[in-house]
Amino acid sequence: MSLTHARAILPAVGTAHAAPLDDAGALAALSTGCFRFSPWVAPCGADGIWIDATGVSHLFGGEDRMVARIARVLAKSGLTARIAMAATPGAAWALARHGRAPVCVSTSTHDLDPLPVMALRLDAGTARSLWRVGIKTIAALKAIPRATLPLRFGKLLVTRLDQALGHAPESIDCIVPQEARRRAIVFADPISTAEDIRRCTEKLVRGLCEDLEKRQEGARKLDLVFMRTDNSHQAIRVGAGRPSRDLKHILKLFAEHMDTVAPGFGIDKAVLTAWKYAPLFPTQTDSDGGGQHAGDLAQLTDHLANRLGESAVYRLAPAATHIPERAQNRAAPAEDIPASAWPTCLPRPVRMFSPPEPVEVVSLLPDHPPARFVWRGTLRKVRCADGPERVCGEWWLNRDEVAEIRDYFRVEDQDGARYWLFRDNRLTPNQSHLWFLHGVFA
Amino acid sequence: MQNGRTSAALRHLTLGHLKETLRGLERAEGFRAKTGQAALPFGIAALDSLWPEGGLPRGALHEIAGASADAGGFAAATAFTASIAGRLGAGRPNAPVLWCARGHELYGPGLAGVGLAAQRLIVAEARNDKDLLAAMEEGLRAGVLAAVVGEVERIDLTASRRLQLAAEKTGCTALVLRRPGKRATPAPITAASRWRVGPAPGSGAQDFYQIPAARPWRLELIRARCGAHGSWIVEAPDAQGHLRLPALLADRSLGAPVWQNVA
Amino acid sequence: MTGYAELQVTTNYSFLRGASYPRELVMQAADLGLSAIAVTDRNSLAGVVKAYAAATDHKKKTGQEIKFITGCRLDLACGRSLLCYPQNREAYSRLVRLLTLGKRRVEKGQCHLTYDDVATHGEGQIFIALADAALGDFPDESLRNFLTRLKGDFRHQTYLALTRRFRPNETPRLEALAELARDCRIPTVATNDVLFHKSDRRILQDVVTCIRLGKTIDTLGHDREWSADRFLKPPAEMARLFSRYPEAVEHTQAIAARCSFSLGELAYQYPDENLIPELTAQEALEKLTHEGAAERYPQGVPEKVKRQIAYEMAIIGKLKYAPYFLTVWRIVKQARKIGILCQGRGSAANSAVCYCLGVTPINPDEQKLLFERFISEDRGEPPDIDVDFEHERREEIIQWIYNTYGRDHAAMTATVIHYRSRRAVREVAKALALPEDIAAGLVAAIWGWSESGVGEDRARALGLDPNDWRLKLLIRLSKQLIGFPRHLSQHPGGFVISKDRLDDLVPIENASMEDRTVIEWDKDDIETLSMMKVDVLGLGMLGCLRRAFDLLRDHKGIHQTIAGIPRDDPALYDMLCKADSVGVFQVESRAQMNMLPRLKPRCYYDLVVEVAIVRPGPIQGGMVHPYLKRRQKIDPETYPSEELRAVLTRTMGVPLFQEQAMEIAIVAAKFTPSEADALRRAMATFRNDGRIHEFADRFIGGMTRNGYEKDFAERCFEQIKGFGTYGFPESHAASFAILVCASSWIKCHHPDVFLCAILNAQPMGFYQPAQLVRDAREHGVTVRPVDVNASRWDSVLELDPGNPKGYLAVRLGFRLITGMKEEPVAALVAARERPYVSPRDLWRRSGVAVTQVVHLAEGDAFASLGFGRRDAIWSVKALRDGSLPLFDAAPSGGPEFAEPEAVLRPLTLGGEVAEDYVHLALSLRAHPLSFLREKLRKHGWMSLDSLKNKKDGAYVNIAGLVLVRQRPGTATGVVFVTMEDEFTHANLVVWSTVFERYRSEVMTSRLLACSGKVQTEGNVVHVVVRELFDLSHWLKALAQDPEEMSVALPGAAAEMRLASRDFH
Repeated sequence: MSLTHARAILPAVGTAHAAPLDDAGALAALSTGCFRFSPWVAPCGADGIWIDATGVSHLFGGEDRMVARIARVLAKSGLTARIAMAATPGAAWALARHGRAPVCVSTSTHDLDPLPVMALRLDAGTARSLWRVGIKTIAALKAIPRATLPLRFGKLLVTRLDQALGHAPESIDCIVPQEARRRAIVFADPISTAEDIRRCTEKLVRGLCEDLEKRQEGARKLDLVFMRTDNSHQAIRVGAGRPSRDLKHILKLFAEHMDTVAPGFGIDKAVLTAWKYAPLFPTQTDSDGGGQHAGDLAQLTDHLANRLGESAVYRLAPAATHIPERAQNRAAPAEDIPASAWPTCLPRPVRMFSPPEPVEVVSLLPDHPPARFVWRGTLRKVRCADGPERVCGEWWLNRDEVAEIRDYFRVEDQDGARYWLFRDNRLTPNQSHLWFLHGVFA
Repeated sequence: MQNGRTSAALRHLTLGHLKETLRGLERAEGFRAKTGQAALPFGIAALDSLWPEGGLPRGALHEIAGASADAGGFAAATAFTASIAGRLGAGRPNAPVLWCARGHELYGPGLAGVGLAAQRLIVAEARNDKDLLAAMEEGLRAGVLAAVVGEVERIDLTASRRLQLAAEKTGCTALVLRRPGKRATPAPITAASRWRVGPAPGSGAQDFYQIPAARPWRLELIRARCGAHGSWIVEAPDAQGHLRLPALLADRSLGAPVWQNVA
Repeated sequence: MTGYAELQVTTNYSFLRGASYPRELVMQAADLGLSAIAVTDRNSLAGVVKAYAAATDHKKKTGQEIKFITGCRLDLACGRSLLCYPQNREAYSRLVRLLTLGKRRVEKGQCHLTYDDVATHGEGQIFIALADAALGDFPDESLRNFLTRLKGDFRHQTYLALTRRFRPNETPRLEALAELARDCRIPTVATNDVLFHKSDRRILQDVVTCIRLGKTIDTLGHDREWSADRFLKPPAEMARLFSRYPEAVEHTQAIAARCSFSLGELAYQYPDENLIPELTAQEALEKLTHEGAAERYPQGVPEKVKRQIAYEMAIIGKLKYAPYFLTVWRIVKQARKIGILCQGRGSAANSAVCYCLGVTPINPDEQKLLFERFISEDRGEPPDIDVDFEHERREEIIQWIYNTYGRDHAAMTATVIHYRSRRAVREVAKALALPEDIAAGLVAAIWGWSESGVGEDRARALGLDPNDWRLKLLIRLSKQLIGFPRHLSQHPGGFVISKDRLDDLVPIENASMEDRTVIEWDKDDIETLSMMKVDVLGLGMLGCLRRAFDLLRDHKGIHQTIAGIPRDDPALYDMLCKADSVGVFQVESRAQMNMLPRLKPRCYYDLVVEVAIVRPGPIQGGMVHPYLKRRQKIDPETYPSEELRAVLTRTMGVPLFQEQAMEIAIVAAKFTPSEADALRRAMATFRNDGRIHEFADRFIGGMTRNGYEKDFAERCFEQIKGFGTYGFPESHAASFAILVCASSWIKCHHPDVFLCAILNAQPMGFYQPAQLVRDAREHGVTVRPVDVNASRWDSVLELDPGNPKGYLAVRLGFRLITGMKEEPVAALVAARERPYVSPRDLWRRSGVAVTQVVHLAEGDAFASLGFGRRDAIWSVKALRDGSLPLFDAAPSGGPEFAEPEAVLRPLTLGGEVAEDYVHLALSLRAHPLSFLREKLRKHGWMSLDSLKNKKDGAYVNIAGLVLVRQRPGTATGVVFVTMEDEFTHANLVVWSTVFERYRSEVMTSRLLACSGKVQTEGNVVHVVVRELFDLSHWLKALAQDPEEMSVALPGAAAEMRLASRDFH
């Protein structure tokens, strides 16, 4: 359904832009929260979570109770969920997404029979092909001699069917893809001192960095979660501008926040997970100090941002616009700035005042440069000038800019200093024009 | 050849410091071997010949201030600093410049116009001089930058010495850009060179409706470790950051010598 | 004060560059007091005729002259640009040839020219070199070299442009340019590089730039034109801006004075047609006409016709139009020779000469001809003969014309493709980076040809905030963009043929279609310059008739022609009076079907009236009801005045035809004939430019002064307005009425042949194959499904021994199956020496690709082999193209595969019908609604046949599938919706107020339910709609098998294809 169609039905329907990255982040956070149910949890697709309940359901008093507990916990956080527990990942997936009951524990493979073939994790094309010949349910599919299937619908169909029914194994790797990017320590005796926490953190980070080293990867976002004995958890999240597996660097990032961890009655488990990771190949480290690589620079900007504030460290990214103050944007230090920057034929000041400073000007209409002007209380006589450079407002942004036209002048005063002034061509209520000083040239 | 450059610093140093400084110098030496030069030439013989190295020494602290305490002087100082910083990393790919600023007046298009491209610039805004100096030092020590610029109003001898040491250690050049402050004469600092720069008055405009393309500056070297000082009329840097001497013909109208070394 | 002429002007005919029309620019220049204006579009002369016409009109209207200079901006391959103005006719020809040369080299819409090309065509031109390679750039060596070269080649014809840019360093830049010009001894000239006529077009300028570059306004960046000052300025302002260079301003005057060429000088000459060596064209035409007359009238040419011929010949001779007639005669003769049906239409049917030449079908002996409507000495307007050819074979005629006259003497006319509402809203929305969704929602309710854009009310109806700035901009800017030329396309069939080289007159470019060349001017331009064109049009019905005649000959041994069809066959009129006209040419629309039983046509002239009456002209003019009442003898036949009796007598005193409206203007409002014609043309122009009120005042004023009632005068004027765009002259209606006769006759006597022919001529007409098949079945024709062992590409006739009416059966052709291609079908039929036994057998023997066999299976073409749809698909799914040699060692007919048998669940009947609609767009099994009947009944929606017993004014609730939505002519009028169910059709009338409320339901529903009031008139029943409900989602349930789980397939695959046709 399109938005306009939806609005035709319900004009007051609210809208929000899709934010897949944020959604994925939230799902990852929710997955983290699910550690309490099982040590092996992973996001599944864009809207699901795998929980491997092998050997843990007894801790919750049986499968039904475990499922009910999960549903309760999620409901408490305001989430509606469909939950299914079954003998195979495939069956659980099918029942959670296509089963009738929102929460169920499957006891028999026949539970799958009435489900549509799409429940077998098929692509839309295969599902449609099956539909065409009237095979719409898993029961109908089971009734077809399986030897006839691969030729017509591909091998994956039979594999998926077998996986769901438990005839074929499904690799556990596949459902816990984060395995190697995670380290955990369980404490027999709960810890609570800052020193213990620091030591355990270092141990976790060291281990994780080794894992990452083996995989030639670097982490961009790390979560350190401390599970407390009271079933709540405390988390520290740090981000790196570029992928990193530098022990010292990561520890330094965590160190800044370590004092926020409140151990309560004790911590019995600590888990370190790298959520965002990317390939990172070893680079030659120059010993002379003159060579450098992006990783070191990222460490520097990470540290500066940690000290001065995240928004205080930035690059000036060129923006293609005629409006001078919009020609530069702040960009994250790790961001790549395009090489093609500002047009060179336009002389621009090295310092620009934001907002522009009002000045009093004597000039001839309609478009002559100022003859003299007063700025910050000082009268300046103009000896020569260039202009106007006529800049039109960006009418698409708002109504006010439709009529906005500025005439920019470069002027040189009697001392040889050069200024950038503009006249706002819109008339003020008392039929005059406002002038501003926008920048100073070198 | 290090005489002029180190004499001032040496006087107050203990032996341990001395050793460390020597190591730093050796490193700078090694750095020179690597990059082929320890100095940044201006491309103007009159300036470059002042230094035995043939240009502004790298891996050192330099101070630049406006000739006047007004906006015009500060803008010229900013542009001069940017042109040096821009050229410092120009030969080496990805060698960025950290600009520790105290406000948000820096204007990228203008800086690019004097040779500091946006791709090479990282800005760090500090709330006070203390944070700013710390950030500068961290930048210098990181060893990944071509230059670190700091817009400082107040800086004392100790602070400047720390920066100087950090610069020597990694070969990164520190540029202190003095913000015009309330105090008339800023406190002296340890610097390999100290500059004053500002628009040269008396540029001849014959036509009110034309600004001459040439931009004359008065550039003054107040003091350098090599002992040189002087003042020159030069043209503001071009888009590659190069200063130029005013062309003979074009400059006749200035009514001033082409360049004058008052040393 | 010195004068100023603007010499650098880009109009919106430099597509998506300029933001004003040529006319606007010329008028603004005149208002500002400029002495002259040139149009210099990029490598193009597409806009110059419009500007020329505007300047001419201005002079005619005000007596003041604004000199118009024809010019062009030449963008050379080297990156340099020049403005070029021909000083005289010879130079103009050279410029045109230069452009043709550049355009013929490359693909449509582009032009590739080098300096050397310019050099060889430069004699007699004035050049202005442009220095704006990059704005703000200073002159460099390359410009100096360029100028030196220009100066060397063209001495005193060369200037250098000085243009203010309002960018930094303007003064030194102009100074440097002036100095360079001095050095090169080239005078400077001031230009303003105009992009639009007034400053407020600046915003639209940015939008068209976005559209041209395919960017959004947010990402346009530095590609945005620095456009603040690129509008026309008064001479005083230009003098002020160039106060340092007064000579540059003066030179504009000098250039204007030197360019004495005017487009009015283009003396167009028609080619001599030396068909018969010793005779002149006129003599040859007379000879051919008399021979033709002897053929047309075997019993001897009637006196009346002889007189008419003589009269026409005299005028043709005087105006020297004989060669033009000979050309048309040749074209028609050629078509007959290769067996293509053709027939003249339009005003040419007013000519006895055309009838005798075999061009038009209207017999002057039977019909009053108005030769003046066709050719008039007063109007001095060239004749315009339009000939329809079978749609599919028209290309043969087109290529024959190219080959006969040569590509440098014959080319097709251009059609300017303008922005209309939908496209304008879509592209502006894209440029403003508004979601596609919003644009789609806004345009969904726009009728295709609308030119009024969308309003805030529509936005509000969609739940959008009309105060949103971008949405406001979208609404405003898309309205501005509507009417803008977007690109040149080729006219559907207009040919310009000239005696002199055509590329001396107008640039010729390649068309996007292969082997076609097109001139840069459209039909209005050609008319402005009095050039003659022949329209070679395509008409689907002619193809259908040819097929029908072939079938009659092959299957029934009947030899029939259009001319041979009786025009007085009572059976035919009986059929039409019952509105039994599905598929019949012109009178098959719902509005026409409503009219038929009221008008009750009983003779050929009634059909002429029938064709013309259901048109916007008579409807808007309120002439329909008066005519019907007089016809039914309810009202007496009266005439507004004696002088109009002669004009109106054949239509019982009510003006119905375009000619009559024109004659009223002349007789009653005292227009001169040429004024009346100007009036007609003013109405026909795409955008009325404010002149309509002038005409209204003159027309209505004139009539009331002459003693006519104001009401009648106003209605006549309304009618003229309606005629303007959608007018039917009587002669045109008469030509069409002949095709109505022909198609009715075949449908009436040979519905089997008619169905077969019309199915094979699809797409054409109002109805989908589903309705055509249904109609034929209701008339007793057996229709057989597509079958791999019986069908061919086209539908064919088969013997049907048991048919009570003796009709043949129609076997549906493979072309009806969606996705089917013609070549594989040929292979399939060729390899069918014995019947196919299975999908696999067919695939193996015919070599048809699997994808095509799948289409056959989905189209249920294997049913006769015992393979239902699902079985056939199952079987095809196992096939792999290319695996033939490997698996096919076994002899054919052997066991196919040692694979276990799968038992598939058969489709339900509802499922089959749904699949039929998806893949064939029709079903022979049952009507889709028969499956929903129970559900509809439960909800209180009655079947359509229940209307029969309802009284006038009764309230009903009905539901049906939407067949046709039609909004006749007028923009604010009613919408007609035709729907059907398993029993019959029904017509809904949706008044505009109701339509506004149910816009979405009317426009998008496939299954529609409605509450409303029955309105009966005679035996015509309408439902006047009060409320509407969209039940389309019910159709999804149709395909589902109640035994199977009600599981839904993701995506739209299960949606039924129940397309409707919309007419606007």
